[in-house]
Amino acid sequence: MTHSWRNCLLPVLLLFLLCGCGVVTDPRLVSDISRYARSVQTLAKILESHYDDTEALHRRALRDNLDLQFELGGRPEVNIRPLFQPEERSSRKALLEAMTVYVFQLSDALAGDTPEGLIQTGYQAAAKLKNLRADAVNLSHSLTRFQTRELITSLSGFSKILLLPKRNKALARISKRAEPYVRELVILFYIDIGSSRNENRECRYSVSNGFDIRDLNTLDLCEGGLRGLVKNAFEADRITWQQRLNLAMAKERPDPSERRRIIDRIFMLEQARKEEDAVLEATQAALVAMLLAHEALSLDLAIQSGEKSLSARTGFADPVSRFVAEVQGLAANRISVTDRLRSGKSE
Amino acid sequence: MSLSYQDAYNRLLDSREKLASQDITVLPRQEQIRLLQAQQAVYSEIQAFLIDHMTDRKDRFSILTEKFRHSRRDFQDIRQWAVEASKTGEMVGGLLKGVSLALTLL
Repeated sequence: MTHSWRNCLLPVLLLFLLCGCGVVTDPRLVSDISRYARSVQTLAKILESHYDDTEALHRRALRDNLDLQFELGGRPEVNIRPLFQPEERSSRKALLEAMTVYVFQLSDALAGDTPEGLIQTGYQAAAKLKNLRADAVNLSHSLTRFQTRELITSLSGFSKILLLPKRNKALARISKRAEPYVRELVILFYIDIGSSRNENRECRYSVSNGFDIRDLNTLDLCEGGLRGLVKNAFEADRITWQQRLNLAMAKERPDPSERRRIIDRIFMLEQARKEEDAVLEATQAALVAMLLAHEALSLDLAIQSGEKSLSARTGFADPVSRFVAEVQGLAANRISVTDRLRSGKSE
Repeated sequence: MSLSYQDAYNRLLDSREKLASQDITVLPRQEQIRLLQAQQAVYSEIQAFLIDHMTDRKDRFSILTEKFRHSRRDFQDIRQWAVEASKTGEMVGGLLKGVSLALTLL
């Protein structure tokens, strides 16, 4: 065997293996799943913060009422109980964490060894073999531990190339199996967020397990969920401040600055209510986008593994990018509602 | 649609509106405080009603969490294959080392 023939052997073998159908992992798919995982993680944090904010608004509404009672000479019992029990919060948090772990495992499994990385590793293996021959010219030399380790690492990468088709089929199967789980998660949180009004006379506040998320347009929720809780908290607070305004105006000498301050407060509450409801509604939209993106990725994995053909893709939409953009928009505009209200704290 | 949900909720909202429409300024001081207490109580009832209908879904969250966790086993299989691939690499490495060193003796 000539030197030049040997030099070409390993790279040619690698190219032959990597160009096989279903072996090469589309770098776009690797990137999409990575972006998807990070966006799921961000959305999970945003969802958690919505429950925190709802509790904060609830406390504020009760506190403002108690404040006024104390000012009038009352001695009310200060006992502000949270809306949710700890186990109710933790069950929701656990589900979000389980989903986050799942998508990162998907991303890590796919991105662990990119074709470029493995080809590079293969080339290194070829180089190491060349060096081995060169080092062995002097018979008193043997492989150092470091050289041995390097060689094994290179060859491990080489054998992982052979693993790729099996891995891709497994990932396609895993994501397919997870589809109904992701669907149900989206439905549960979508309904948990709820609605700030009755969307129909024949509205409902819950759905059965078999509900199809694509029927969201026909869902027609009743007022309830986080959006209902938030609306009622703001309304209770507004009523208290309206009482304050009435009392202030009934004084013998009403103070104009006090009147203005209270009116400003009432306006601010209304503005904050609308903004918070808009954010909650946008979160519902992001949940639906998360499901559609997962379905697209699942299809791409099936195409990658050879189980489906390219013709299975329909339309030109990019659900993953859409989901990522929705979450980025939510994160960028995410000012805690308590921060918004803090600018005009109740005196 | 659950008529009872709407009816029950609407009754609570009606109570809230009736209390809110009361002019606090015409009431004696003690009655003003009682009005605020009543508004606080009705508000708490309204929120408790909505919470009840959210938290009866707790089991569905827990069951779904378990389903996601079960999928971890599938990822373990993939990791195991990668470990075996590494071992294959070690074995091949050992063979090659032996062969190469032998070749240099020729």
